[in-house]
Amino acid sequence: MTINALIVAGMVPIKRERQLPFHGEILVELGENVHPEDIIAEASIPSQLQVLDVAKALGLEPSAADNYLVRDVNEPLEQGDVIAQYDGVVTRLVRMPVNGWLVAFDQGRAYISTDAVTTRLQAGMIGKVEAITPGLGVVISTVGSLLQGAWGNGLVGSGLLQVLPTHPDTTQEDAVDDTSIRGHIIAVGGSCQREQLVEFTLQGVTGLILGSLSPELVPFVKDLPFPVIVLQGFGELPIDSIRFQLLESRSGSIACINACGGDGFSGTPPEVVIPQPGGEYEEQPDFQKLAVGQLVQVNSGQHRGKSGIVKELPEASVNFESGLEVPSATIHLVSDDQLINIPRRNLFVIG
Amino acid sequence: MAVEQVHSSILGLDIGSITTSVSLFGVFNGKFQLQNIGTDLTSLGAGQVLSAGVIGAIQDLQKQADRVLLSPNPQRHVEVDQVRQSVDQISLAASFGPDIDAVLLGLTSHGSLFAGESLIRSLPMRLAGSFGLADLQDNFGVLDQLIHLHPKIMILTGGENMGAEASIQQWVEMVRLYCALVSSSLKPRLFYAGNPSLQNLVQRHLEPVGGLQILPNLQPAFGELDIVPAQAAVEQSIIQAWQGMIPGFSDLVNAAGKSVRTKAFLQDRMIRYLSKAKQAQGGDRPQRGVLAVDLGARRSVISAAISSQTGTVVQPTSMEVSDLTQTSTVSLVRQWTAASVSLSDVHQYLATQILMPARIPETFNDLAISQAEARVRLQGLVKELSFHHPWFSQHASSGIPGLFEPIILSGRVLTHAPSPGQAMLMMLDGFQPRGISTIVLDRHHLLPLLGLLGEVAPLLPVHLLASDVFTNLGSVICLDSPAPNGNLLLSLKVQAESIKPYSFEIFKGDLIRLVIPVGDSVILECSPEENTDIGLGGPGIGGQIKVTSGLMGVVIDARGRPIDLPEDDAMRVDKLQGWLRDLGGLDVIDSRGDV
Repeated sequence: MTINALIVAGMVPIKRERQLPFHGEILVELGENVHPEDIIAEASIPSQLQVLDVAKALGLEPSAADNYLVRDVNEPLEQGDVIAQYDGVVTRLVRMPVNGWLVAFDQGRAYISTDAVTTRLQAGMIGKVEAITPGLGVVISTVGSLLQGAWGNGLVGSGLLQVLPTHPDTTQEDAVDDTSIRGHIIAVGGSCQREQLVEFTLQGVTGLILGSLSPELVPFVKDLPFPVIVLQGFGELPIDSIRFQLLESRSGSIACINACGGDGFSGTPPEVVIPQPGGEYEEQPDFQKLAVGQLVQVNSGQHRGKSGIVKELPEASVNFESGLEVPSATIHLVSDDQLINIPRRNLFVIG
Repeated sequence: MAVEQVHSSILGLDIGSITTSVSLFGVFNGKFQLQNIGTDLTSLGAGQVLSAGVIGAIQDLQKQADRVLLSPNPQRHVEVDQVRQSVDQISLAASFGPDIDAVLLGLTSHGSLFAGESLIRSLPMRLAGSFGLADLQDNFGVLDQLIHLHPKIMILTGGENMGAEASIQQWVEMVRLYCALVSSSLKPRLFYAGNPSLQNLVQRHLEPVGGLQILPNLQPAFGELDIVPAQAAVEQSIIQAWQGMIPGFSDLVNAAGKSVRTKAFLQDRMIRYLSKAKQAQGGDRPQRGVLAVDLGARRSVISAAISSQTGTVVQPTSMEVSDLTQTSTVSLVRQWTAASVSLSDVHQYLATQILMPARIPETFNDLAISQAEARVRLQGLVKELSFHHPWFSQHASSGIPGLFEPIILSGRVLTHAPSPGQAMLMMLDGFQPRGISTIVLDRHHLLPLLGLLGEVAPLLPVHLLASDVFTNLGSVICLDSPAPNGNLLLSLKVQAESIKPYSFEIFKGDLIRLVIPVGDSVILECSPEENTDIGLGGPGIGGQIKVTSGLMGVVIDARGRPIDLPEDDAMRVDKLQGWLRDLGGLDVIDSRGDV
């Protein structure tokens, strides 16, 4: 069975393709080191159009006016620049009325764009430009820790990683008060309330890694000025020790959050990349098939959000409380040391 | 004389956004039959190739079939070619791709723009912008917006036959200019479906600037829609767009030898076909149509046809998680949930479902929420279809008219509900139909495929429709009466092959299931009260109804239209669970002692 997978890995090669939605300009060079917020490519389309009736101004038929254009299409021009000239008894000139680009010349009329809508592509991670597709995009690569998540608020950022304590006796307010978090990427084991999110904003964090999030807070989080990634899902989910042990082990390192979620069709899920250049790594195994021994996240029932190991993939379907009889997997929960059955479609492979 | 190619082995691929199914058809005793079906999750997303899910589904099929289509250790990238060698034909019905952005340029909102919108809503497209006569006052404003939207498809329509020439010419100019301004990668696929007398002018001006296709006028006369020819052309552009977006799709299109269409188009085609067949069989009897719905994970499709009237609406179901906070969806779904759950529970379930649409309900509460969402989606589809095709129903809020038989249900939440009673109740609460109908489950999601396979083997749909691949869920009689709750509406005599005849009475508010063995011929002698309409021609009109019993026997719904739900939470849940029990929908759960 083909299944969904989220990568949580201590040391892996990471390669990401960034592509413009349409043809534009690549702003980096092969081998260049980039940071998450760096603009690596941009593409513009004309905006704020104006039309100049060149044929009329030259006193010519529209079809004849083409011959007297003295500028190239897409050429940037300044106010006053001559764009057409007719040397008759009296020389007639047509000048640019504003700063802009000549974007088209059609039937004696010049179309001028005075502005442009520009799409900019950010690197989204620290790494090296490994390949360039001219006009379209680049491939960035690095080696390090990778944690993919379930949801992101669409922003990109980086900073020193700081993991807030998840001990039951320590509230997040205490942790926030006691520690300087300005400019840091903060990782919180559980979820956050609105007040805590406001506090993080005031303290000037540059990114937030959450275990889970109440879906009611999604519109608020989408408006925050820094990237937020939710690793496990929506609701009050139990803290996932595997992910947070990995984050704790990388505390103090530079972490990059790319919280631009995949579109479900082709995109990469939102992710945290913690580069460890020069470190030894293992190739990422193929997670296309669910298999015994894999680490998985449970996404339904009372154990939703917990992780465990696949112990068995029974041949026979299992009848669940809902009355649905479907293929299941037997999971050994890491935190509870117990075996449970979960519908296979409700699992994400992590690892 | 054209010689029909004989196909003896056909593989139908149905690739949805969650599930990929492969169906193997063969010829036995001169008739096409469904041999086996295999399924797997669709392989979409980062690092995935679409053919991986197809290979997985074929491996699943091979476990049941005596045919070997794949080598023992298939490589997903090359193996589709091997499959192509093993069968005579591969055909592919697709619905996995994203909605494709389209812009509409026309004249009036009630005329050509309405027709264009009906076309766009009948296919997996998103109406990114719609511009009419008034917008022509601000040419450059529109041009700016077009540049900003840069749609993949642009449809120019307007002018009844012989009308509105000047305005159409202005739009042609605008489109020509737009294509001159944007780079080649942003040029849209152009369609002209307006006043036919301008076709030459449009062709002359627009063909040189981009891929143009001339189509019949969407609105040949005011109020008259003719979108079917345009659907066939526009949907091919959607397939092309998906090929550029989804890794591995082009390989599958090549393997299918271009026998590839969208499921929305195919469902529409099959409903038109079935309606025509019904019309041909019907003789002088009052005309009835056919209705089909597919509740997919990422989009729903409803199609209805009666006589020459036809309509399909595609509704995307996966929204942004933030949309849930800004719409009434959460509270509406909770209202129909047959379990005590909070708004927050519903919100969490729906939000998680958007992230993980393949997830299935594990607990009773999750099941109740997912089935409530199905009801809300069905209600929304009825409203949308009524809006875009006013012939469908003038009173969408009080359910669909009793003009459609059968009603064909597809989509996992309906066809794989733990009990048939749950599927029946979702349909009754969602559609709130009136009159008499037969409900059919398309468990293997074959209806769209048949619409495609008919292109290569015209007898295949005929043979399959006459077989048992579709499941008769049961017949429904929905009573309409202004009488208050508890009043007598109908006296009924039931005769069936394998049970003794019996009589009983139906009162307002009842939801009754007549348990009759599957396949039995049933005769219902109906004597309604004066104000009760049972769908036999008006209030008080009774008579004999002959049906064939399905999984649910015969269901009589006397709850009234629209269905009222109590305001009080506990009473509402009690009521919803009571109806589930009435139809045996809680038998599976009750036996576990969970509710």
